[in-house]
Amino acid sequence: MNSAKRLLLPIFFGLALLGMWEVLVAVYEVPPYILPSPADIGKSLWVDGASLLTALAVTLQVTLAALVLACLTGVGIAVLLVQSKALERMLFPYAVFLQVTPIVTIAPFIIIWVDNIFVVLLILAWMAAVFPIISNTLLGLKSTDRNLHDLFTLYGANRWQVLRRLLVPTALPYFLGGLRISGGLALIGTVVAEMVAGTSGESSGIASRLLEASYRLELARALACFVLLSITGYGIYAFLNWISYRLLRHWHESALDDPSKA
Amino acid sequence: MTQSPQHQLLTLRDVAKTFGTGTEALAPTAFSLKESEFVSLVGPSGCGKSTLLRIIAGLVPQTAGDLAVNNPKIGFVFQEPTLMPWATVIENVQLPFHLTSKPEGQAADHAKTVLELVGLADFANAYPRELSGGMRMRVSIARALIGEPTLLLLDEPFAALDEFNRAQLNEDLLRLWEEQKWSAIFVTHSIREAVFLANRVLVMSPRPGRIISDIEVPFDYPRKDALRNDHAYSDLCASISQQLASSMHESAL
Repeated sequence: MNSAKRLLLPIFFGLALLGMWEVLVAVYEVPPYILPSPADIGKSLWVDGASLLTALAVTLQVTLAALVLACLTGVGIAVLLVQSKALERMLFPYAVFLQVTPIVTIAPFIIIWVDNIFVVLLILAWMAAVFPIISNTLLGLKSTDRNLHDLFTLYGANRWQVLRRLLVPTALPYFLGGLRISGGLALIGTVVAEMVAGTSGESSGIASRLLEASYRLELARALACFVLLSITGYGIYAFLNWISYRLLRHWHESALDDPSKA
Repeated sequence: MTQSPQHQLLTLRDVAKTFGTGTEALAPTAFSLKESEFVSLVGPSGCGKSTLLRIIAGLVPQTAGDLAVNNPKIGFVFQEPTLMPWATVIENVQLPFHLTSKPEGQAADHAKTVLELVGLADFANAYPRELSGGMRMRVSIARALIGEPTLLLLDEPFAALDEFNRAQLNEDLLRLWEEQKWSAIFVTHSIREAVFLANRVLVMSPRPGRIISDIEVPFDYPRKDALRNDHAYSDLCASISQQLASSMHESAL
């Protein structure tokens, strides 16, 4: 009963909110180009569903590719930076620049320099997503138990054994924490990049469809895009959360509770 | 005590350590340890006991003097259990074997044997977080014993345990020592524990530490809990306690 309650509570809340919205739009006769009712949005999801899902697939492709790329490069960069203090001092500020520079300001240059629109979106989404993975993995790699490290030294462990048996497991929970943040950022990065790059036609993603619909004052369709994006974002988060739980459930404090509470 | 002729296992000649910052952690220290000898090392906080152990283990280099270890197979037990939280008990115990690339089957057999010795055979597949503090320390001891060490270095291993667990582990450690006859250097803050366990108690001065006395402990093994109520035992503890107090008083002047 408890887990059912936990699931039903937010659903009831959402339905109540939608009901109120529906009633208010009807009572005050708000025109649909200002604010469509939930039923209008639902209708648009039904009618345009197939084409919107195609657009969503395009966006999701970029997002996931960027996330995978961010994992590989982020972990690689963190492993590189942890090799020497000097290297970290030299390079880490540039990783920070990557994070604090709004990607909309970089987008115009990338669009000029790179022909392929998929690659443009990929670069921008990667820039949005990579920093939490670098910084968390770096923190994790530096968080090894000093005595445990001494024990490895005592038994003559080589660099590879230290990496595989000590550094990687120690850094894993930190990396996964970064990954959960990066999942959301990769989607945000892709959406912003799509809006700035102004993709159109067959290969356009869901964000360009949203923008296009709002220009035409087809707000029901724009909001339908918005709903799909929100659900996707939540889905990515839930998926990464599940992966994290699966990998850590035996030993890490963060995963000792039920995953549905997270 | 064993009567057969004993070889020197470890000899320190004026070993000293000064840190890069100029702080003198350990004044020139000399002592030797015979095969199968159990030595306790007591001294005030910060006197360099841990530094001395780390020098003997080869984890930090000394800045003066020299150190001769005969056949150095060292097991180390830290103050904390220092287990890998992501690995099961048996995987933790097997670590020394994995790092020295011994065959997998051999590692499993040895790990089971040492886990039985410390009374944790039923917990081989548990994770460290599922164990109590005393049990984790047993795992740590099992891990130190798996490589069949000739010298066991223990750095205040039972300091964080409650009185009952501590007494129990003291007896268990002595039982293992009598069966296996490795040599041990046992660092502790507790004079009563030091005397209960060892053939010899070395007393260190406050920082920079040096050994100010080397006391034979005359009680026969096996030692049981009853020894703790013995007058001779209490008197010896009191005399060591007095030596420590006067050395701290001198350094304060």
